[in-house]
Amino acid sequence: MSDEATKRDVEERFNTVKRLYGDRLDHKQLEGVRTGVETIVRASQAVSAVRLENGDEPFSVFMPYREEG
Amino acid sequence: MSDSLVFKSIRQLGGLVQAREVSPTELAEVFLDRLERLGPDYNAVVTVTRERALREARRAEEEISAGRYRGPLHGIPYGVKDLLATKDGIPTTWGAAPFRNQVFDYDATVVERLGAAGAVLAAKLAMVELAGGGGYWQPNASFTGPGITPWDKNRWSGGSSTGSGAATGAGLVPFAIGSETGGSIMSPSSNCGVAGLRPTYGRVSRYGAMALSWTLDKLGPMCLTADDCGLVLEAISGRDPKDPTTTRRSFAYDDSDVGSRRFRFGVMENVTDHVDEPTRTNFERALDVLAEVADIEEMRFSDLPHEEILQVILFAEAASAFEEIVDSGKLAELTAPEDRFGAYPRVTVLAKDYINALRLRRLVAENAEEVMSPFDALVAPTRSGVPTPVNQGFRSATLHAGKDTMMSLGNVAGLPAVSVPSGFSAEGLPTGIKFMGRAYEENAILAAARAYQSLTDWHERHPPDLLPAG
Repeated sequence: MSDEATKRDVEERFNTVKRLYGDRLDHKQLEGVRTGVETIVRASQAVSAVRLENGDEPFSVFMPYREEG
Repeated sequence: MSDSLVFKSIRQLGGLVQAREVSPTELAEVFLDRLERLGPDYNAVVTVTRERALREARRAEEEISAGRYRGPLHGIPYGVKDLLATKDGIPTTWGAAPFRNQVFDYDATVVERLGAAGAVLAAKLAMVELAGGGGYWQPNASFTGPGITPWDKNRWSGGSSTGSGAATGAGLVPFAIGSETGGSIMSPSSNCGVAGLRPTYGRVSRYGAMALSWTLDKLGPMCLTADDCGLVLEAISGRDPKDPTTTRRSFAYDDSDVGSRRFRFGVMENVTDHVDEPTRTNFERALDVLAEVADIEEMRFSDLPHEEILQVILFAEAASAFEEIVDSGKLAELTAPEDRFGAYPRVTVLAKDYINALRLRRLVAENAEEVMSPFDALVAPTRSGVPTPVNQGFRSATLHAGKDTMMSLGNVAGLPAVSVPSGFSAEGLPTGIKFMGRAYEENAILAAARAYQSLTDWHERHPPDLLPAG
């Protein structure tokens, strides 16, 4: 992702937080939120950069429930 | 007699209780007094459970007098991180001001199991608010104040199991229970100079524990010795229908003498690149000691974004676990200024990124199993540095900024690790060494840590001002 696209991604996600919770956050806190969003975007990019095959399943197993005993 | 009971291991205290040389009530009184008198000095305690402790101690005394000795934990006082539910009207605060009056009407499974082993609940111990779920940057992140290491009242205890580390290291309890999602047992174990065991994910039931991240949260013991960690793990581990993630693999602690056993340890390449000088020096000395009983080889993991995988999983799951706390506005009541907004960004984690992180988790776990299989354990410095000043942030750009791959990978893959003291800095601040093993190999890493502790005496050193008089 280009720097410009990354900035846009951060801004869009930041605006989502601002829309949902902006009324309860002051300017300094919103800047902290922006930093937090940048961390998430960077981490997500690092995760997405690793090539996965279609058959690479999530490491979480759903098990239908049946009461024990 | 009372004074000499402090800083004794569970193994030693259990022997005294079994031989009826000390009574559980006497033991409880000694540690209740220390919790009440010294706990505030370290911001280590939320609630001293005096009434319940004396009730449980009297019951233990009656049972032992009647010849019904339950085992090494019978009559031994302990504390739990205050994210474990307890009944009897005892608050469970999660370390957070909005929950300071929260009460549950049941005991967490770990508390139940320790009760079944005859242990005596003496305290609910301090912790970073929401176990660090707000993303704290500095020690003052709990309504009980910043956690303080028993080794220096101006230094941090490590977190988020602050009170579990400090109370054990200060001799306020013989052992404690902590929790780890991303370093919260290892960090205070190192900073407080105690042994801490992060069990394999699923080894210990989390029923009744505050959830931060369902696929990362683990509960484990913090004690004076690795041997004690094994004793406690055996008591608290095992399948629990109330926590479907618990494994059906049983754990029986193998405490047999390591004797002349020769180990094989791996050391991750560049593992000391981002650690401070005292930690590096003590780790290198520890390797010299371990060379007496082990062959040590350098190794490496595959090049995967371990820290980022941990972050994405943790952020996504915490966003769900704390949704009510976030939406209700309770974050504004938290102590650390950064915790009052730190959880908001997490609503922006995309579902596909979370699932991709879970897909990568399998690759991480398979790679770890492959490269760790030749070894009894990997060894590494537990933390990147000695305890930082209690009024200083610890995630600044310049302070030990390197990635902690062993921590990230170990938690992503759910691998067990035990940290034990490895020495001190010139200022007398403790450092730790950790032994990380393959999944379900707690006995291997405990044997390795016991071997190290048999060759060193760091675990027998305690803060001079906390030693009983006389």
